[in-house]
Amino acid sequence: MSANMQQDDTPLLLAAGQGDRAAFGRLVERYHRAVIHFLQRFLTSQDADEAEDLAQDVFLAAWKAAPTFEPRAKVLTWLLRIATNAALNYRRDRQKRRAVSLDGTAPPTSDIESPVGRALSHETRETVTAALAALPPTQRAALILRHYHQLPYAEIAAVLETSISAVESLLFRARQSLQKSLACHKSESPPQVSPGPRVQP
Amino acid sequence: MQCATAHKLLSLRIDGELDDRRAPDLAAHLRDCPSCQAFARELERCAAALDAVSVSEPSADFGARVMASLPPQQSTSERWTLVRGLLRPLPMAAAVVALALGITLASLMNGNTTTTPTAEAFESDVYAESFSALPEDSSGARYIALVTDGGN
Repeated sequence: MSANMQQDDTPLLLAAGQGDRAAFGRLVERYHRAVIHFLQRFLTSQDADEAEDLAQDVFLAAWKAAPTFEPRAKVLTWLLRIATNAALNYRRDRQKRRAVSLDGTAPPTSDIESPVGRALSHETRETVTAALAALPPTQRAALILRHYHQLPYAEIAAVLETSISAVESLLFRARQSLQKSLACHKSESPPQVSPGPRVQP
Repeated sequence: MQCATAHKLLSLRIDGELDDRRAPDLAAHLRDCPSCQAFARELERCAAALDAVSVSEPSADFGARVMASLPPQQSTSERWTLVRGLLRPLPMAAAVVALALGITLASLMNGNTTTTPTAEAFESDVYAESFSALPEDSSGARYIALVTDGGN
């Protein structure tokens, strides 16, 4: 999480709620990477190239909802809640479309990698991406919010509109599933990579 | 400590959310449980593997595209004006309906004290009585006229 995101941007969002476009522009500038990266990781690899369009919808929804923003929530938490709902809706619509037409889309290219990511083979990267995509949506959202955005459990609970104990359970089950999926591909991954610095959103 | 509990605590530990009260119990369990030691290593391996999921940089013009797509924001006063505008016809409509209901109920009560007419006759009597009891110009009279003759 960047330093920018740790500052209190509530006044900007309140000003945006009163129609201040410049204030909203500053929020877009500060948070668009976090929202887009959340969506890229949440969507399956076939849909990751839709992340920017979906992020645009998220900010449009945020602009419309800004007058109703309650300063109890952090701006990032509030935006990620909108993004999560948008991603879940998108996924539901996508499943309906896929039921009608099965089209093969090439996976998108990726540009940003962590040092650990660079060390892993292309096969491992695809395996991990597929394992993440195979998680149930709320488990996947919880894991992304925790691992990549380093949100505290309380804020993940706020984003997913659930309890902290439910978040603990979601994260545990997500890791269990991930561990089972990746255990099948153990031979393709490097031996015992210790957790390195997280990729910043 | 059961291994299942240890596994859940390991998930908390990897997030730095394991409290000091439970940490010693987990550490003690791990010392004696090779299976949970292996699970802990697996969790760390999976956490590291998650860093392999890469993302791409947003387009340079993303912010400009968002700002160009924004509709005008409605101010609070504008929203209240809209709400008031939507609510304005309601009191008049409610008054007309209440008046019609009152007249109908009053007529029903009057009718029931004397005879027990058939449904059709009862209905037409009620309308006739209601209509005759109202000034020709009144909202109630217009409502009754609408109900009784509007379909003809």
